Amino acid sequence: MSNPTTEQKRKVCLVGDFAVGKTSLTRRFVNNVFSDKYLTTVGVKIDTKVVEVNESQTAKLVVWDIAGESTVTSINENYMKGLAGYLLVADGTRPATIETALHLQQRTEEIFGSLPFVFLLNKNDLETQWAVTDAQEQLLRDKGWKIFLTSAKSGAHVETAFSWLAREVY
Amino acid sequence: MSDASTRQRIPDEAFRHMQRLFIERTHPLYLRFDRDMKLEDWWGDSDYYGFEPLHVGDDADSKVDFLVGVTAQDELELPIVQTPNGQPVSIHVRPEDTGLCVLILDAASEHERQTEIQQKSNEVQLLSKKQQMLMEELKATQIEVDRKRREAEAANRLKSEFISSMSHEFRTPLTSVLGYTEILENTLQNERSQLEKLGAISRGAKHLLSLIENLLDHGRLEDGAIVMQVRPTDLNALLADLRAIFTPLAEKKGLEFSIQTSGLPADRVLLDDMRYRQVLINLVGNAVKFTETGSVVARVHWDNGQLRNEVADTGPGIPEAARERVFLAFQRVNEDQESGAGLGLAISQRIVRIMGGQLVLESSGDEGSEFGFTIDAPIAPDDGDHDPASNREGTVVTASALGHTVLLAEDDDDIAQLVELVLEDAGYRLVRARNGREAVDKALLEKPDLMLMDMNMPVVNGIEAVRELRASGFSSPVIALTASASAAYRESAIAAGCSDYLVKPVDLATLLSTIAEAIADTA
Ligand SMILES: Nc1nc2c(ncn2[C@@H]2O[C@H](COP(=O)(O)OP(=O)(O)OP(=O)(O)O)[C@@H](O)[C@H]2O)c(=O)[nH]1
Ligand SMILES: [Mg+2]
Repeated sequence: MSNPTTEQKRKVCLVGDFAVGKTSLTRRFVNNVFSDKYLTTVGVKIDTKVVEVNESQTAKLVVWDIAGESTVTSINENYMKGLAGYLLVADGTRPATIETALHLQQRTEEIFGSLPFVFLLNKNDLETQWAVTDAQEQLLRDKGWKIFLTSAKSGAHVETAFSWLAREVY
Repeated sequence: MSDASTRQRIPDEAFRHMQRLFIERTHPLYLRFDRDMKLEDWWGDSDYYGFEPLHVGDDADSKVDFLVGVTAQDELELPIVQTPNGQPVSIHVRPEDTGLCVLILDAASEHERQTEIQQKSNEVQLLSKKQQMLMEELKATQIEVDRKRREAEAANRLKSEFISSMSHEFRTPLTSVLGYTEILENTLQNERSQLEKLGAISRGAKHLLSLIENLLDHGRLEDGAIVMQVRPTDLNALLADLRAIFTPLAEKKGLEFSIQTSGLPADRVLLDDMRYRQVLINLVGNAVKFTETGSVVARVHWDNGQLRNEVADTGPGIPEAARERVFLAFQRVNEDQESGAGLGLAISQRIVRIMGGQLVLESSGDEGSEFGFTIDAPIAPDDGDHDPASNREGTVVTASALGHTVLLAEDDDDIAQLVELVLEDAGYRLVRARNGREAVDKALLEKPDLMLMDMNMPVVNGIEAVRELRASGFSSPVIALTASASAAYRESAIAAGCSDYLVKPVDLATLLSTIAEAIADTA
């Protein structure tokens, strides 16, 4: 079914509570821009970006930036159908969003099986408001998960995180 | 199919009308893929949605991003999807026998409607979350502030308690030093040189005592436990006393010292004479102490129930920078100033405040300083008072003492001996108890006419002992002796059944008159 002359495409989804920075991360990754203004995502926004998966091969990531939800609704389940991997996003200034991410990860695994994913603790530029202790961070790492402290604002670790997932899904 | 049955009921022109409206409003795009997800056919406006030109046989994956990962068997409802060209659409994917049907409809207005609601709702949630965090921060800050304040208060209380307990420790030995001195003075009437030495001991002890009083006062004033003891007072006599105290000191330094009075009533006035005297002694004492040449003048003016006091000196004055601090505790104007704990003015200020006035530094400069205050001092009502303490002048040894038994409960041997000496001298029979237990036993056994009870005793303390005695029907007067001058303590002593209350160090004459009156009252 796949055509060898066209680029390989993979669908990845950003999931996480509302306002954690899913859209901002996507915009940083795809267009390399950032805005402080909050415009919520309704439904889903689809973007694509060509990434290098190794020295000789590129591939196209289809990024599904899904509206923030605290659980996997049946609508979101529809949006996620066919995904190859996902980015779990939490807001490091709001610890409750980490709980949400943990829950979303569990539900996603129940529905779609074990897929590659990364955990992004976003807004890492907001040092004074940062509410995740080293111990909490370690607890996440102890699960064997790939964790990145990202900032859509500064761009820190955004590219790295997406690239890591891209390599995992090919 | 159901389409056909609906169509039968709706007239053709109506159906076409609906069809036209639907197509205009939703810009439907219909795509059909075969089982291998190759494009078989399409219908509608693909440009409107920004699709690349479509060809039969196109791979779904390569042409339609949102179909990546979707198989020919999937049924999907995607209510709002935004594609890169920004157009929100709804996507309906349905498997058919021959492959997959995909219907794409414009969802711009639905997207707009939902965005408005969701934006508001999310913003409100973020705001309330932020508010909650701020409240928690505020609460934490509040708790921290409270904790710090409690710590400071506890430290302050500890300090006061320390000062007060230390002072109590000093009082008891001083009482015996002063008492024995008094006795010696009485027995050595004729030996001048000995008397002079005794005088020095006595003055030294009295000075120490006043320092301790100051410390105690500070502690008491700080916890607000001080109570004024207002009684009819002869102002002329009080001021004559003051003159007698300071004239020799002033003379020794070559200072002129005078007390100028005006308008003083012949009648006695109501005020706490002890406290009033304390303030004047402090102000005049300071003035004399710090003035090297010139004069110290105290002016006392009475008018219509108000007593105005001014103390002026020709001393060095108080530096501008120090003026605000002079009334604070433990502050001395000059670091090299030699004596005192720096409590005098702070205490005086508090006393004057309790008396309804305000101690003010009226002026200070090269010419010297002047302090002033005005307090209430109404004329005392005519009838005599029965306050035993006011009888302090003149030793009253009455005949009634003869044959009366006094039980002395006191753990300090020196004080006990002193009281014994004085009371036996006056004609009483004395029984001694060393603690509260013994006091109760001996009281019930000996049935004394009066009891002198130290409140702070081992085994059973004074208050408990009195309570126990009263419960057993003991009816003779009990006079409490204590180092604590707080009103609360006095109240609890009286509530326990004490008839009267004397604060150590007790002046021997007052002790005798209080005993005599208490016994006379029961007769
Ligand atoms: N300082 C800082 N702000 C960020 C960062 N990422 C996102 N934001 C801000 O956080 C808010 C929410 O960002 P979005 O990217 O819209 O969040 P979202 O997860 O897409 O939100 P929903 O679409 O409502 O689920 C915006 O005001 C962003 O500017 C970051 O890394 N640092
Ligand atoms: Mg978003």
